[in-house]
Amino acid sequence: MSITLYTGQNCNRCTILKDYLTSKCLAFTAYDFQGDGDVFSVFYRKHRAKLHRDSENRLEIPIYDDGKVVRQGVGEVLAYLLAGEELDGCVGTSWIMHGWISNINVSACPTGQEEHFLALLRLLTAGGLKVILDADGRRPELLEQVLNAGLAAKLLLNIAGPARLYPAIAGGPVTPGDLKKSVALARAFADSVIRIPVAAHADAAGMAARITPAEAGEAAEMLLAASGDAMLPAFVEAGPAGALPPLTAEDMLAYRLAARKFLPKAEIRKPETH
Amino acid sequence: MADLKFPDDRRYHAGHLWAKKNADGTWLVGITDFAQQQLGEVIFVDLPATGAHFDQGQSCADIESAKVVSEAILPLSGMVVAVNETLADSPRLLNSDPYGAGWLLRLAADDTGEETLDAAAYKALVAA
Repeated sequence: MSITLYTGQNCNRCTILKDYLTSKCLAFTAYDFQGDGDVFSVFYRKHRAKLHRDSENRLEIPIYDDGKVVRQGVGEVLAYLLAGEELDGCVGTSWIMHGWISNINVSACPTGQEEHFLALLRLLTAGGLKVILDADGRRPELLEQVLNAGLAAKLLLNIAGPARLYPAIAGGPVTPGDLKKSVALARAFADSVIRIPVAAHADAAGMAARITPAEAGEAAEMLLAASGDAMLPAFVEAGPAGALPPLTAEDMLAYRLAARKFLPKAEIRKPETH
Repeated sequence: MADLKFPDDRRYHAGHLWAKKNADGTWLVGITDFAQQQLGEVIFVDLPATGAHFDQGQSCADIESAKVVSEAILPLSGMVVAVNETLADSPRLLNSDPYGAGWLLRLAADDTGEETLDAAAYKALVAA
């Protein structure tokens, strides 16, 4: 297996990856994606459809190519090196740069991959990155391990919808007990946000859908039951719209109204952009 | 600014493309030196198909560098009669020779180019 990396200068994420490969005695060739433009442009033309850019249209680095797979972004590459495709469902493209990394979901960690998941977080934090961790109420024991080990700088507890919609939206069911534990962990953590994201997902028929305001209200009711605190600070937040029309400010008011039936302090949170 | 080139033998547009009339009446179109400097090293050019028609001000191509994807805004209305196939394998020609070998496409124009800028006016626009 011949590993090629496309990296940049003064790129901490690239350094984290190179250090890991070196620690595992995995030989690699690194090209500067701007300095070695002739080499990179050949690679880019071949793999352009697989590569992504951030919200400012910048190509994310490092990029990894071992002849079998091409992976982009330090989180995704390390996840692949640690566990192949096993962590694909819980490590996605980070929506934040500049010393932070996001789109890592502890609740989506498959059973049996806990050690790989923790190893990933250790590599990222040891390399100086601050992790914004997602959770959705499932796997509170693993969440507790992550938080106690200091492997997350910020926690986003996302209540995907009513419990009956969790399999469709989150990929698995959530129990009242797990949600209760997760809410308690989030409330005890220094930097956490409890939110009901209103994002596009695939419904039972495979069509793009979003939770309705009434369903957001059910999610808020679930949060009330899990926390026992009607004054719980919680948010509704517009998530990625996918193929659906974006939510308007007026739309979000309806979601807030529904959530406030159970959590009077619910507010609308503006999506983070970086 | 001092090292940027603004050849006098062609017209320019605020979208940072140039257009030069050929003897056969068609117009050669490309990006300016200023544009290539802003883009950084070009790694991919997505050119239109020949036969495609565009209005002035429409995007006719995407030019990609590591740091940005930029639309090429046409300075003239017309039909694309040829594209620079060399750019598929050598996109960096846009950086190294934007006014020569790095041309983007050739256009059978609908208009006369009166709404475009001369070199001095474009240079002033860039300097502003």
